[in-house]
Formats: sequence, structure tokens, C-alpha cells
Amino acid sequence: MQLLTLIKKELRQEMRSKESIVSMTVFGVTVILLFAFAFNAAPAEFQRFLPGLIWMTYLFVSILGLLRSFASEKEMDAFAALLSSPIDRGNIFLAKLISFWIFIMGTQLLTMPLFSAFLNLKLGLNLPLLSGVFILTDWSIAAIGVMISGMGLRTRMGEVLVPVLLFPLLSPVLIGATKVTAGILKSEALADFNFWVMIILTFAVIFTLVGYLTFGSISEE
Amino acid sequence: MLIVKNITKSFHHKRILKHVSFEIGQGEHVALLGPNGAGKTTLLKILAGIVRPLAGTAELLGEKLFTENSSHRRHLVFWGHSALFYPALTGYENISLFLALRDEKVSSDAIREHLKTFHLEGSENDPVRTYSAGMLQRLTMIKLALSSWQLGLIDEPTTGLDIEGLEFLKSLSEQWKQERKTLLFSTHDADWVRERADRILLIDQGKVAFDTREVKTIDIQAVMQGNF
Amino acid sequence: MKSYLSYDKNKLLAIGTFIIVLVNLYLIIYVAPMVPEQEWAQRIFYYHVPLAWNSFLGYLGVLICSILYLVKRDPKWDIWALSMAESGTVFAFLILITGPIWAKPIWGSPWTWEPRLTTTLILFLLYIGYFMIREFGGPYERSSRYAAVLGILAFVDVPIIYFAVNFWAPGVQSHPQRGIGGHDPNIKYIFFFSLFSFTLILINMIRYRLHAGRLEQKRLEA
Repeated sequence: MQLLTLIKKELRQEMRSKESIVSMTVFGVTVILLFAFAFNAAPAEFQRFLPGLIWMTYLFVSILGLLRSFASEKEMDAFAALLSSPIDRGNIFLAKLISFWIFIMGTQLLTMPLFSAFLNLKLGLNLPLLSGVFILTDWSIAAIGVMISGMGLRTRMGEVLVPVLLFPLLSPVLIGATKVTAGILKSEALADFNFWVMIILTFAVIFTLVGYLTFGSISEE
Repeated sequence: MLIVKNITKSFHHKRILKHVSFEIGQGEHVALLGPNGAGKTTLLKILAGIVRPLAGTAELLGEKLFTENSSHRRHLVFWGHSALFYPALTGYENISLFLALRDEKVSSDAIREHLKTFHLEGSENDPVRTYSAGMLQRLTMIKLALSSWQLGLIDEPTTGLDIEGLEFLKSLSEQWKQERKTLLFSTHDADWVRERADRILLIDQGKVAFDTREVKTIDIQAVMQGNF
Repeated sequence: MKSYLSYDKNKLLAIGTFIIVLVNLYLIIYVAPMVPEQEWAQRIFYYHVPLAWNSFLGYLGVLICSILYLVKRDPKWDIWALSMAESGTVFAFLILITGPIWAKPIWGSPWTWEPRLTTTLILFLLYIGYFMIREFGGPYERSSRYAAVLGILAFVDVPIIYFAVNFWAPGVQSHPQRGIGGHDPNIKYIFFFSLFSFTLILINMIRYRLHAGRLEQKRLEA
């Protein structure tokens, strides 16, 4: 129940201020355009780089969003009210995770068409499978991202720590997501990349658990 | 109702609380005095679960604090220097969110009633980002008035209050006195202590330096300056 | 508190380790047999693998001490974790240096995306972040907790990173050492002696760092 209340709070704030999704989307569009300009090659050649470019874009976009994810807690120190309420720290973590997960999926929904428009991404029939990969990978990014941005909340170097720590921790997920995306776009058999799906899934499960258990140590002053 | 034993906290390795121990009985209104930087705010935040102590234990109505268990926080409420609200949400939403997180059953009519009593009518649907300092303090008072806590941990409640806010706080504090709700509040306001406190705890150099129930007879100004 | 070497136990350990390391060096240079085709380059294997072992031990220690620190909340465990993290990172750095030294003559290029080397690189980056958090994470009482969480995250992430990298670049040559022991039993004996002497070095380093950490804590709390 409290978990639901907390998630609703995050979504309501976002609906009011549109801070996260708008800034993430604008930044995402910029990065995609940058890639389109930088790799001004024949459209056919993009196919090889496309999966990597997609996930690099969303890694950057996530970093931007994560840096803002605790801003509303900080402004009037609402986090103190949250911590002194009868809520498990783990549920605070899950609420942040789920709401950020929703924000990044929303951003992807808005920006993916640009990959088709500028970088010749052929979504078409691949859409259902690709959505599955995105849903899973986004969860992993959110799980580890919320933990690290939670550490950045009270740290003056938060803006530095998030990008520095996010990439190495996420590296297996990013490798996996890139591989699966490439496999789907090339219409390979599912069995060829289910190993990668397992890697991402393992990551998501383990780090959701670690975050749930350690968020007390992260959130308390 | 509150038993605090040996609470120790350091900050950059410097001890700011050294084995602080005391007990508070049900319904007592305890004033926490001490010079700036004595660790009053830290002590309140530790009891509220916001700051993690280095060592020590505490028990509230028989439930242990500083554990993974969060249910004991149902009995307490914290009011700090900052407003502790979500700036993008409205006054009404902030109140109902706070109550929902505490699992309090309060009707929306009751909330609107209180918003009216505390002169926030007309602003309840504005985001609290647009509120003045006085409005934020009155909103906090509504928060405290509507929830069913037993121990109120309040950090300098009278600081920055206007005359109207002070009147509201006085009537609330009388109401809490009658309901036998316990208060532990830090303050630098000697008049407020003389009128409203049953007991004084003086924290100095990280320790309980002075503890008395003779609030009416002692010289509070002197105690605040370290003469007792 | 006295200096580290003023304790007889520490002095004995340091002198013993020094002698064993000298013997180890002699064995590797003069006694170890040549492996065909690899010649001298192969001998770095007596260093490279024990370095990896030490780094692994150090980071495993960080994991255990970090969990203990978060559960028991006793600063003692934080000093342990920090000592192990620093020692482990020194060895991770040495792996990243000795790996390419060996790879250059054997594979022809200093860096290949060999899974273990890549995993070590990522782990090394994570520990750079670990020390950054300790430095910039605010007051010690909080940054040490963040570091503990990161120490757990890093170690739990390692197997996942390893499997991912391993499958990511299946074409890359992996370590060929597995079969080498079959050539000559001496290789095995000298290897294990080397492993032993490097573990002793690690123990010395951790003990020294623990001593320094305790002194520092005493000074800061005074």
C-alpha cells in the first residue's frame, strides 16, 4: 500500500513538473541527432552500429535523469519526512526504482521513432521483442542507478559519482542489451541470445535485492 | 515512554554526542537546551531515524529504535528546520500524502477543515513551492495536528514564527498537553520554555550536562549560558 | 601506539616474507623450466596469476568486511575493508600491467579483450569509484557506509561481468596456462610456491595498512 502511495507521489510530481521526462527526452533527441551527424555514412552501414548507439544514448539519458531523481526530496528536505515515517527503507528504494523505470520507458517511447527517422532503424515486426528487452534492461539501469543517485543525494560530488560508477557497474547489462538488440534486428533465433537475456535478468534480480537490503545504509545521514 | 541509552555520534571523526542517556515519561514536554553545535538537532534526527548513530540504543513504547524495523516510527513525528514538503505538490496533497504514509485514516473533509482553521484556505491547491515561510509552518502544524503520534521531535518550533503562528502553536501545545502527548523540542526561546516545558535537558559538549524538572523556579537564561 | 615494525610479530613476518620472496625469485629465474615457444615471456605467469589471486582475495575480503560493517556498524570493519580494498587495487593494477607485457610477445598486441583482463579492468574502474566515494562522499561516517555498499555491489557484479565479457568476445584467445602444468611437474611446484609467497606479501600489506588505519583513527578522534 505504502509502496503504491510512494509511486503515485512520484508520478504526480512528474505530471506536475514534467522535469524528468522532458529533460531526458530533449537530451535524448540531441544525442541521437549528434550521432546522426557524426556518423554521416551510408544508411546501410548504420545497421551494424545501431544497437550500440541506442544503448549509449539511453545510458547518457539515464545519467541525466538519475541526477534529478532525488531533487524533489532535497529541495525542502522532504526526504527527512520520508525517513521518519513508518516505511521500510526498501520500499522507498522500490518506489524510486519503479518510478524511474517508468520515466525512462516514457522517454524511450518518445525518442525511439527518431532512430527510425534519422538512423534507419527498422522497428516493424521487431517491436514486441525489442520492447521486452527494453523493459528488462531499463529495470536493471533503474535498480543500480537509484542506488548510486541515492548516494549522490547528500554528496557534493554526486554529479561526478553517478556517471563514474554507473558505467562499470552496468557494463554486463549494456553488453547484453546491445547483443540482444542486434540479434533481434538481424532476426536471429531467440535461442542464440537467450544467454544475454539471462545475464540481464540475473543482474536485475540481484541488484534489486541488494538495493532493497542496503538502502537503509544509503539513505540515512 | 522513551528510553535513550549511550547514544554516540561522530561527524568527521569528531564526537558530537558522547554516550547520551535519558528517559522521558508519557506526556512530558521536554525542552532540549544547549549552545549551537551542541548536537541537539543531531539527537532529534537520530531519534527520528534520519541520522544513524554510531552506537547506543533507544526504546520507544517498548519498541527498539535503530533496527531495520520501521513500525515504531508510527509513534513519532519529526518537525525540522526545513519544511519537509514536496515543492511540486499542493498543500492538500502534501498533507494527505504524509497521512497516507503513516497509514492514518483521516477524511478529506477533516483536512480541509484544518486548512481553513490554520488560515490556508484558498492556497490549498497551490504547490507549496509558492508558500511563504509562515504558511509552510502552519502547514506543518496541520500535519502534526491530524496525525496520531505519541512522541513529537521538534527542532526549534518557535524560530521564525509570526504572531499568528505562535498563537496556533500555543493552542496546539496545550491540546497536546491534554492528550498526554510527549514532546522533545530544542529551542533558544527562554520564555517559551518557562511557560510550556515541564523539564529541561541541557546538552553541552555532547553530554547531558543538566536535567531538571524545576522549570518554574530556576533561571533559564543562566542555564542557557551554562551557569547552573 | 608504536610503529608497525616495533612489534616482534610484524618484524618476523616481514623478514620471513622477504626471504621467501628472494627464494621465489631465484626459483622462477634459475630453476623453472623453459616452456617451448613462449621462452622467457612465460615466466611472468609465476607473477601474473598470484597477482590475480591476491587481488581476488583482497576484494573478497572487502565484500565480507563491508557486510560486517553494515550489519554490526563497528568502525573496525571499515578499517579492515579499506585495507583490503587498497591492497586488492594495487594488485589489480599490477595485473593490468603484467597482462599486456605477456600478451605483446605471445599474441602480438598488448591489449586484447581477454575476459579476465577485461573484467579486471572494469573492477579496477569500480574501485577507483570506491576510493572517490570515500574521498568525496561527505563525512566519514556516511561515506564509509556508501563505500561498503559499493564494495558489495562490485564483488557481486564481477561474476556477471566475467560471463558477459566471456561471451561477448568468444573469438579472443583466452589464457593458455591451463595446459602448461602438464609439461613438467616443477612448473606446478614453483607456481604454488610463488602463490604462497605472494599471499604472504598480501598479508604483510594488509597488516601494515590496518596498523596505519588504526593510528589514523586514533589521531582523528583525539
